[in-house]
Amino acid sequence: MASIKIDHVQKAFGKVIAVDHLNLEIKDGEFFTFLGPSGCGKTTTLRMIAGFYYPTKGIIRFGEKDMTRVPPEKRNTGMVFQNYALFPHMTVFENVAFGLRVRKISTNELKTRVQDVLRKVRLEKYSDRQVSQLSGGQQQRVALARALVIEPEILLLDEPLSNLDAKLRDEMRSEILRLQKEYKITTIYVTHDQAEALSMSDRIAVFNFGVCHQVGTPSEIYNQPANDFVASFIGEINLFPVKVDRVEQEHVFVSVQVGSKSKELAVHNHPYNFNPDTKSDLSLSIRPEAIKIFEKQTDGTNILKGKIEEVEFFGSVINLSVKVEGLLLQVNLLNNRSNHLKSGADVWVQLPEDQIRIIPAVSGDVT
Amino acid sequence: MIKNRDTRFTILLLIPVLLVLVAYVLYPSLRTFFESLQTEHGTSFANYQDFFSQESKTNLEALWNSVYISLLSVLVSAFIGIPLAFIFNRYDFPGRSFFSSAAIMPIVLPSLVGVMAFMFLYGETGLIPNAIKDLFGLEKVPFKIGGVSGILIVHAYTMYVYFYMTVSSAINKIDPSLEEAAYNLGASRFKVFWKVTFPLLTPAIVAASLLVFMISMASFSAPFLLAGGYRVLSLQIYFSKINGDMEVAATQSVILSIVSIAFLLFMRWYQNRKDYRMATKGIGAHRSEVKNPVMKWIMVLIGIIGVIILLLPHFTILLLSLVPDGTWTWQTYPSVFNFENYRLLLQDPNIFKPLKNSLILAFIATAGNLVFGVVTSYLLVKRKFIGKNFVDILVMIPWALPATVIGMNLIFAFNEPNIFSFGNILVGTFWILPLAYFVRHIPLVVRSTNAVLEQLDDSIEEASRNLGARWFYTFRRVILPIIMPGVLSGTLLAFVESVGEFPTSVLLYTISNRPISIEIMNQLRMFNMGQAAAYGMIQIALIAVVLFISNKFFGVKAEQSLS
Repeated sequence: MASIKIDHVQKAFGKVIAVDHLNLEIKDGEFFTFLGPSGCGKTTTLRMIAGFYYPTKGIIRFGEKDMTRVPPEKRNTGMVFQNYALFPHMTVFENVAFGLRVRKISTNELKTRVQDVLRKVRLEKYSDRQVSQLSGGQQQRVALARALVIEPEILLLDEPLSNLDAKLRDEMRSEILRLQKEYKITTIYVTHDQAEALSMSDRIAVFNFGVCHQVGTPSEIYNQPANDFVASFIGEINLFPVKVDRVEQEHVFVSVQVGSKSKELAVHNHPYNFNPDTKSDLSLSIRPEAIKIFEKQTDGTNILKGKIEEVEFFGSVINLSVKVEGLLLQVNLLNNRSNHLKSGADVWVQLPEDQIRIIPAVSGDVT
Repeated sequence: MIKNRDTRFTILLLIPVLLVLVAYVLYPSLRTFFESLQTEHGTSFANYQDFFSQESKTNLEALWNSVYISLLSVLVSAFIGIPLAFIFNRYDFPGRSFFSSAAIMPIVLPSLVGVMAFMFLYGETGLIPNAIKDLFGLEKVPFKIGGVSGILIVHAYTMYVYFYMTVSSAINKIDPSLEEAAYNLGASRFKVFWKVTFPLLTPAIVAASLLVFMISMASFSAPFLLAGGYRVLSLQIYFSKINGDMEVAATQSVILSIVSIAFLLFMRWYQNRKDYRMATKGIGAHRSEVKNPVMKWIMVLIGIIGVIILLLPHFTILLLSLVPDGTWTWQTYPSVFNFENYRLLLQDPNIFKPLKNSLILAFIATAGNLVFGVVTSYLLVKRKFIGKNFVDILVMIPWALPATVIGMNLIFAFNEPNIFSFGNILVGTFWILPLAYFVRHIPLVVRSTNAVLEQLDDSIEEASRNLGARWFYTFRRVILPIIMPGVLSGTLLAFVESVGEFPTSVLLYTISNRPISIEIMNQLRMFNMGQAAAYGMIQIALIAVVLFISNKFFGVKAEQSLS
């Protein structure tokens, strides 16, 4: 087990820079997720940790050891590949035993260790099967067992669930978490699925275009996204460009362009809602579930009149699209069986001043 | 130095591969080119002027004949192969799968043996014309093959298979939903065929056409044995060499090479331009059953006749091999049958020696092909390096060059000592034939290995290294076992082709080291048909065994091993 330190790492393929200015510290025993859309550099970073790529610049350390240019076979990491990469000419047992054979473990110990790990992934009955005879979920567990049996310092998971169907995915998610807790192993998990990232991770790093935008716990990432990319990548969010009009003791006043007019909104002057030390353009962000909706005109701050454009029924939740002149707002309501909102109806929405966050707009900059 | 140890390793593997390719592929080709520039008055293009001048009509005539025969071969093969591919892949009728596997039988006939069979079947004293003559009490044989028609018939018989195979595999790769989509949009059967199905097949048809064209251009056995005196370029090279006109032979080689390589380049360009590969997986065959009983039995009848025609050459060779030499002289038909020829083959050391020679020569060449092919293919598929295209082209050159040219190239390169032969003259020694066979089959083994390596996901190698295995361990325990079936099927095919190799053998063999194909020629000259046929049967059996092994144990279809 080890901590990982990624220090000013850059990776370029020819002229294309896949990862840039990357600084990360992953703690011992942590479940850490690289999250981002495809081509964002998350897999490249994982492969640099595994040793399949060497960084163009910067240093990677496991604990105190400099691993930057150590070849993959000398890193003692266990990797689970997206397509599992099971050896097709070997049985389940031989696949799992491979890493131990390389390490010249004695036959007796090898057998016990393989059987032990196969029991942990609940495949002890399948040890003599050819891997092609296994289902996707079983192959996934063989890949996990093969990576775990060598007692790696770090477990690397490259989108391990992306080839499974939805039900199996849920099952394997808890399976992976269970094994990770049991082995208390430092784990890096690469995914583009925000739900996986939020539900499994101790901490998440959000990537886009080779740059890490934010590192934080799932609730930090969701509740306090660092910028509009993180905000929009994780969960649903309403984002509008804003300008700051004036800053007062209690409130910050911002103006949003609504149709041809500009509408002033009040925001709490609190570090959570307003982080003033930024020079870039600003966005107003608010989660759909934070918006309040009224069927009658109501008094209060930040109230806007609009019209329901669309109602989507999801069972526990109802999604509304509300048009406020030029702006289209997404609003989520819990289904309390007393909503009678129909599309075309006039409604009044309130953007609570403690729920609005003014964040930097980077999506336009980074291309 | 180079920091990245993977790059260093790539270079380490690349050096021997490049050395072999430069020494035995590039250098001999260049050597031939320089030879063609030699004249009595120093270095010039005078030989080329002579080639194209009106006075030397024979050369131009040979070039024209080669092109003419090749074009006709393409047409005839296409007219047989494409309809057959459609009938066997789109319609279901009794015996379909038997007929469709019989359709590839010509590939188990080595070209020299095939030509021999056709001579005995349809030639002047052939069994079929004489049988018809006797049956109908005719004065003379009703027909005999020879000259252009003879070459064409042999080409059609052996080369339609390329059309049949490539078009069949293309038909099976067409997603049925594409045609269904066209029907759904209101297109008629006719329209669907010409607007959807046929355009999807054009890449396969063009590929097969070019392949057949190139093979016909290189064809040696058929014009050599069947069409006495009919001048084609590959044969002219041989005659020039026999007559000692080495510069002329070199010039002819260069011109034949240019035509062939131009076609190869065109083929590569065309294949890259049109990519109709479809992403859909697991396409089921959709054959429509022939319901009309008359049609059904007509098809079966045609199938049976087709199979008889296809298998007659094999049967003839078998029959001849059972006729002891000296028992069939003035009679129209052989009358004595026994296993004398096979007994002699096994017991008489003089008769056994050519077979032994061929097996040893082919074994040495193929062992080289195996090692070289695996390393080269690994580099080409799994490693990145500058100049990969160059290596790729060098690998493909022996495929584009007619066998006669490869033979000439090696003569020019190794009839004098140089560093690539470690200061020895190779021509006239034992080693020139294994070298020729090796060069001839570089592309076959590299390409068949490429095919399996491309299937192997990079992550398999990475997984092994991630688990702590070094590269060599990974290669030995993971990569090799996985790719071995595909590699071996290509290598075995190279082996049997080397055993039967004729055009390079006839240019390079030494008296003390005659391979089987040369001995077949000698036996034919001495009218020992039986012994020649027995040699032929051994080759047929070898090929059949190899195809069977590839199919049964390596799961490689015969049609895949050819393309």
